[in-house]
Amino acid sequence: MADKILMNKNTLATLKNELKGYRTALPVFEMKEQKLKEVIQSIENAVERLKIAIENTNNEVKDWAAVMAEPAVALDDIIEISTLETKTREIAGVIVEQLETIDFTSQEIDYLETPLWLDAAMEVLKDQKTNLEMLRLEQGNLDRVREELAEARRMKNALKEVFIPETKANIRKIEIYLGDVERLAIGCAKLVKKKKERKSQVS
Amino acid sequence: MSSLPDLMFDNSETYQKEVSKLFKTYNSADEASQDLVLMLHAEAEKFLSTKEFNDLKALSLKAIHQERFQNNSQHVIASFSRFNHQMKREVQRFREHRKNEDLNANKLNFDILPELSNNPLKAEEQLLKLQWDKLEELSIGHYSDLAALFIYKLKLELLVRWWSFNEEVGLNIFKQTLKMEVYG
Repeated sequence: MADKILMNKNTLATLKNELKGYRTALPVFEMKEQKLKEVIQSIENAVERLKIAIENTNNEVKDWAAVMAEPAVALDDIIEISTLETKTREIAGVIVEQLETIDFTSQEIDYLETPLWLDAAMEVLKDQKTNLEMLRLEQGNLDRVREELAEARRMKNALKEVFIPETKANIRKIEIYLGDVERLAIGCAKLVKKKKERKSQVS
Repeated sequence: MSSLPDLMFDNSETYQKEVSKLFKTYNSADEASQDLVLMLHAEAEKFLSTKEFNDLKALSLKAIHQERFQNNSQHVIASFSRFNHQMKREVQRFREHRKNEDLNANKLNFDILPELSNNPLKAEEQLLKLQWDKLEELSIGHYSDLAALFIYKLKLELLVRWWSFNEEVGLNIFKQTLKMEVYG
């Protein structure tokens, strides 16, 4: 916009056209910003709920976690995520991922040889792994939506504070210039006319 | 037998320290070992014949339900083995019912099992107490014979297992397991 502009009618028309485009785009970015703020709020709520669920599970486990110290049983590879499927959807131009299915593979447990507490440990590991995966996805979504919001804000501010005011100022400059040129042309025409009239009277 | 620490069904820190301390005084030569059962073996070896000592070493709470112990010539071992086997079978049945989401798994008719707590730690303690009480019952009339020593070892193993339950360590293992996820 800082480039020197051509003071002619073509440029004026182009600038007016651009201004019209900017004025159409501005509410779109304002709406997008609003929508993304709402999406962020809902994802932040989901993240908060998941963090609370994880904390609650940890607190519940704490009541009986002592048994997991029993050296006879290794929990490391007793249960693993086998498949994790997500579905994606677009919200205000951002792709968000949601957990669709999560499956686990667990070692075959010999109920006669393993301690009773192992069943509860496996269940709680499944629950907590599911919660952690959901949290990971939501935090990824949050990062992407925040990035998109920052971009929408940059665009809105650029339109509002740079493109629209500068274009308006340039249109005004050209209009004044073209007005001056027109008045000058009329003045010149009048002078020529008067000279012609005086010449014809003398002759 | 009379020189060994008296065992009680107690998991207080004071009691654990007291028992450990007493075992360590008998086993001053083996300072590196913290394993109470190994200390018991070391102490018992001094007084037993090779066969008796091998029988004592072979005896373990983890394997006591196996057939070889159910048919043992020592009455107390055979009795406790059969009891332990039945208890394990009942626990197995309970777990199978619970896996199949049988909400009444706790209400199944068992000969030995009490109604088990939903808290896994308390349920384990119930099972330990059940075995402890059986050993107490079997120990009647056995004060300084070999059977008394076998019962003593099984009681010690019950306590060692109970004392291995540690909230801080268990919670760390749980959290560590969650961090170690590898996708299949």
